[in-house]
Amino acid sequence: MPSTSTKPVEDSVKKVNDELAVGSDLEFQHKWWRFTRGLWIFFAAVIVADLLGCFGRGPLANATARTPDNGIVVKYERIERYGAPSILRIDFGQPAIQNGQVRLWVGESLVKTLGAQRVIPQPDQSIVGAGGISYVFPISSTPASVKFALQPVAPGIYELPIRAAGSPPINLRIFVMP
Amino acid sequence: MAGVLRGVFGYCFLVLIVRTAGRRPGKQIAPFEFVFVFFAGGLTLTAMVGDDRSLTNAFTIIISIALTHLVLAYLQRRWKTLGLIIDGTPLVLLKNGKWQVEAMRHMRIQDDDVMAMARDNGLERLDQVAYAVLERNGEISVIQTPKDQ
Repeated sequence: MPSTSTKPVEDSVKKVNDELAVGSDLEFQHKWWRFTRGLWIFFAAVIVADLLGCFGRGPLANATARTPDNGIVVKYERIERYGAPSILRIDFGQPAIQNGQVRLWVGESLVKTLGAQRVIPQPDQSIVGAGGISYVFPISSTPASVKFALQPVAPGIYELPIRAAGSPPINLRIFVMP
Repeated sequence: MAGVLRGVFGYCFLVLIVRTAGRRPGKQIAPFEFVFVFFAGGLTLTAMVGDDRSLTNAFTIIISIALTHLVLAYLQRRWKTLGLIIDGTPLVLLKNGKWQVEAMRHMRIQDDDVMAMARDNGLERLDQVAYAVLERNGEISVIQTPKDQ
């Protein structure tokens, strides 16, 4: 016959008024209430930080970078979110426009990690090489701008170098939240 | 792999949030609390699944959540403190004819909730209740006074 293991019943559950076995652990419960109070303060801080844009999509996340000669002005989100769409906009000033066109070079992280989905407007030319992509945009008048629709493919901190012929380079640092 | 990690994180995060937001599930759940439960669950699901709507992703996430659940259940049996963190401890809400105000305030329970459970147990008045205990599963146990039994 198979044996079944047993053990005696122990009356180890703490009682209330020596009659009702409840097993309350009030010492733990007081610690837990203190912990949850701290946790709610932390949650409130998280919400405030989020509204401010510390985790992207807010005023603190929006950034502008420009070359000293204002040849290129980049409006972007310094804090992006993984998989969330965003727009990186580049405005071109007179120094960047040569012979009615802008020759723009951006680092490969634009496509590889920041997940550029499309360029608006479409460039006349796009050439892959030298650790990045070169675009040629015909421009008839200023102000002129192009937009890159981004959708980051992985969390992390990424450098994004941007350069236009005739204007100094800009190096952006973008943090992608998980 | 990312889906599995997101699944485990999502599960543990929801356990913490539900534990923190209050223990009023089961019979004590009110319609507005349903909103919280479904909303939190739905939003967690979105982040866990991401763009990957494949059956493979669903299977692996479900299995990883089931395993996390099993591991937590095992660990909370091994370590009493973890059990207290995950499930909490029973709390007396009413004894000796007096409300235990601190417990009720922290657990956001009103005397109406206790009376509802008393009625559920066939009692008509609160003076027929000797003890009311908020159990770990969120239900309120009502013990009758001896003379009313």
